Amino acid sequence: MDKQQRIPLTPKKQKRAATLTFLLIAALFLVASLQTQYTPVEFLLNMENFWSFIFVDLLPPKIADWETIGMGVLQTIAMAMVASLVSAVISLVLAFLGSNTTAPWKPLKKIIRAFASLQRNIPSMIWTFLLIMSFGIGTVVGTLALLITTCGFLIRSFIETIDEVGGESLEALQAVGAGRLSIITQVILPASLPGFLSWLLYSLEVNIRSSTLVGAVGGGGIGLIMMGYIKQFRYHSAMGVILLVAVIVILVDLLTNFLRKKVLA
Amino acid sequence: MTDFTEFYPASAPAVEEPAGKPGLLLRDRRGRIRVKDPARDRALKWFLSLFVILGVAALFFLNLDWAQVWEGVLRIPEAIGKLCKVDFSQIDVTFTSLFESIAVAILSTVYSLIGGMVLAVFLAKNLTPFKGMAAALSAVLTFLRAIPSIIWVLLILVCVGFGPSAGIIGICIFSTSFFARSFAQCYEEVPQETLEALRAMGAGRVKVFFSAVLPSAFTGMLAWTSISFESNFEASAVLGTVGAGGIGYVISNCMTRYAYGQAIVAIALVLAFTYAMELGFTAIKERNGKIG
Repeated sequence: MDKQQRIPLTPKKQKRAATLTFLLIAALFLVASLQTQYTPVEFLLNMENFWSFIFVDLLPPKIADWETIGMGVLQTIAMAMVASLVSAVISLVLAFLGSNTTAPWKPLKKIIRAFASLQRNIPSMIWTFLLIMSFGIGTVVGTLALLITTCGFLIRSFIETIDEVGGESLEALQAVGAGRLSIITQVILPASLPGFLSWLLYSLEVNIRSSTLVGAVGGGGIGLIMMGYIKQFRYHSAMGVILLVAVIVILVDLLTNFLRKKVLA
Repeated sequence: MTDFTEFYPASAPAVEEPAGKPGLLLRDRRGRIRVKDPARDRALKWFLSLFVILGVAALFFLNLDWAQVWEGVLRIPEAIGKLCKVDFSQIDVTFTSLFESIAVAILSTVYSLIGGMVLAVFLAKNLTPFKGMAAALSAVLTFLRAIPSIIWVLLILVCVGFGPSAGIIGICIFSTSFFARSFAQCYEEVPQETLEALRAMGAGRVKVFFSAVLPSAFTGMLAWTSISFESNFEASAVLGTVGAGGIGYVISNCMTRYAYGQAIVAIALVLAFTYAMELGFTAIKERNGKIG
């Protein structure tokens, strides 16, 4: 009786990778649990507290002052818009200077990449704290903080988009003797425009979310108003603002998805 | 030199090809292939100009105080000078809170990973046992995802009080919903034939899930997990600034005490960790080839 050759459902190599990942995650989980002393049981036992908090303290939501809140919402959206637009312009220029295919000067490429990585690896709320030191509390700080992180993110994404274009059409133009500028305007820009726009839309989505958060730590807009309500224990009003934020985020997501399908299809 | 002009007579008959049909080349009236698609270009131009107009309008609406901006710019060197007086006196507390932030990020990622994996089964169109439930669940999750994780943390903080649990639960709410949607996408990419083959062999739902769906969705799920861990760490690093614990608390506390030298140490640690994480995940992604 010879042994039947079995074909595993999943390749051995993949299985090993999965096991390793699982072990790694399990080990991290154990260490983290020990460090924080957190167990979900504790929360599940206190569920009663949680539900009463939601249904007594938070609901029903209340919009206390339409005028202030409306103004705050508009400010938040405007902050996100301005940050996206301005950082798109800045990133476009810097991405062309920093991409592998178009960089005019190699050291500059490295500097731009390091600059972008510094910008995006510090969370926007921490940028807000740093900026408050020189600009004081208000929408200026919020807009600048969003601008900085968005720039960091867009520069990297734009550079990736430009690098992906390259290839044959680039070589074709180089072969007929096109200069750097005409290569950029004739090949790279048209080919990467849809990519740029899709990243831009994504950055707008992210900015709409984070402009609320940046506002909460001193960046102005609806976030500051919400934080004020929470600090004054006016949870019904805070919940009203939070629901409003949720509605705006969902609407913007729907709009950007629609635009992606319509414009970038 | 070969003369190619004979192959392209000037009076080439115009090839009638309906524009806009996919798969056909666009040609102009003289039969030349068009490089640009005017319809798409028009849409792009509209979109771009609308975006610029709205952005400029927003700029005017914000009505930024340019004098204040200019004064702020002038104060930047002074601020940098204050930040440069690096002060390591609280380094032990800073490290402990950094580890707490990392631990919160890990725990919330693991818990929401498990939750997301389960919820995604009900959400994925090819696996869900109840079609109607998928739509309802999707709506609920969209709502949970629309509220940033920091706001969830703020709310939970009021309920459970100071400590890591507020951060973990708050981030989990957002992250579970994120995982559920992205894992559902991964599950849906599993070929229908594979599922049918296993079902034909008499494999039950659970068996199909563990031996077909999970292995083929594995790489995609790993990519989503890394993305989520990055954003969870960012959230857990800043949730201290709104009153919860972790490294964010150290940063905001130092800032309010004007201990800028200590704050910059904490910020540098956050930066170092996020940067290391980015490098690590990029390396993994490049080794595994293109994901997603």
